Amino acid sequence: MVNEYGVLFVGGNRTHQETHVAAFDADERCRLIAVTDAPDASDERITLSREMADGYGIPFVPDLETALGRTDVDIVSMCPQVESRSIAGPMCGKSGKAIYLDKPLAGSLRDGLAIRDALRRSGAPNQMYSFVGLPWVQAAKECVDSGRIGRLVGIHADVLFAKGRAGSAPAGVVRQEKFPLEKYTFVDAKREFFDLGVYAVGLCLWLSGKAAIEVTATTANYFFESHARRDVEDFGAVMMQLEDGVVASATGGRIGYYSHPKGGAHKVALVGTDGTETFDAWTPHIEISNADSAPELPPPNPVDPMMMWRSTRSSGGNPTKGTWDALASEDNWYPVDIARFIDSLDSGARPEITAEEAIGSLAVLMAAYESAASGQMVTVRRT
Amino acid sequence: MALLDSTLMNSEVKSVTQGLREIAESGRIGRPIFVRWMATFVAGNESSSDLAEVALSDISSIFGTAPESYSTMGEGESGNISMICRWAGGQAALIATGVTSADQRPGLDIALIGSEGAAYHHDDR
Repeated sequence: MVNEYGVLFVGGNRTHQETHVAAFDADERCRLIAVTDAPDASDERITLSREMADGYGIPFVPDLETALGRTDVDIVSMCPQVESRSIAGPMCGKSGKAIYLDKPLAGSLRDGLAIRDALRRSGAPNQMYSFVGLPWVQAAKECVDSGRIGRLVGIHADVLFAKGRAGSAPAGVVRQEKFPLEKYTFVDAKREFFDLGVYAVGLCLWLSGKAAIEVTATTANYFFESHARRDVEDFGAVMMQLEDGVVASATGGRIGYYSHPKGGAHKVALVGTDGTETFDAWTPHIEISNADSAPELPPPNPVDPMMMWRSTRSSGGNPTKGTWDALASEDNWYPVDIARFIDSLDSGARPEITAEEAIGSLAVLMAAYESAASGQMVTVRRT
Repeated sequence: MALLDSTLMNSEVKSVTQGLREIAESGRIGRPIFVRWMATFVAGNESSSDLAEVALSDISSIFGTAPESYSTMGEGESGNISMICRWAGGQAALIATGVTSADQRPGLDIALIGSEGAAYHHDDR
């Protein structure tokens, strides 16, 4: 007999919840209970959360506290807008329910610590979405653990998304980062180093098993006019001094659909005292040359011009590229991570990326933004 | 063999750089804006610091000027150097080096990212 977990969704359409809910829905161990949203969610956000509830035929519960108190809820998929996590996050954390966390954990270190501390106090199992369950990352972990490259001294990770129609960023304008950060989410842009750099930074920390001590970083508007207009970066790079002399670097950004034969560079290089090995999401692959035309991006959908979300794909999305046929699945990344979370609930094992690890990545990201703003090396706050 | 590896590495960097510079100048990838440059080398044959300096020089030739600033982490003893470099025009680069194992050949892994495309070079010789 399999366990059955009731799942509550905090946050709805046009957030990462779209991928969370699909994966929970596909897992036979889970039953979708309801959708709710943060107490400070805007009317537009409430409408989008109601849309998600309607789409899955489950109720929308207007009050978060009421929804969290339901006895049929075992798991909370916590995915309100980043700007709403300071209130909703600790409420979810102290509920005692198992929490599946969106990445990054929060929009500031203070908010992230509030969530982490609430989870510490409740003792509830929790996991933040990451790449650690994917085959190429598991292979990298096996490489580190095996010792075959000697002692790990360097680690360099890239997670760049080849999405969006690049080339519209104004030439000759050098963006100056500001810190602290304010807004993250817009209809036509989001902070891409925040959203994607968390993967690469998280890989460096998790694979090395080291904390970051200090960082130097840069952010930029390289590709998209919308990001420049909203004054948020579309790309960032950070170099990190980790404990025990390990050096790391990471990139994160949205670089444009046509900038990679697949979904963008998703890779990690491990530098050891006895050798160097590289792992990436698209290796191995089969390369195809034929007379097919290069895929054409559809016209932008006004409600989602950067083609971020599933729910707007009917009006256009990123067409499949045919040059590389990756042998590993490209469609199961969220389901793999969510299945691992359910597995951990079944077994009682500690998930590998909890709020404890999530706060480490968030601390690096915040130090990186501070460094990009100041041009100086910045010490990472111990958490 | 050690000298040959060293010579090949340097000549390869030169020729790949020339190719990347021509791609950058052609406009095929828009404005060149970021380079991720990773080299592995046979321990004892090269200096990681020298390799990083060569990389910085080559990337500067692609961007058309020397960087405004750069920072370095790591130490040459382990063959592990990492650099982040920034140009006045907003371009940036990450450079990293690492040693090969006994059964590996030296290699280069370079991504030149432009505002409208990218060029990739990967070679394990």
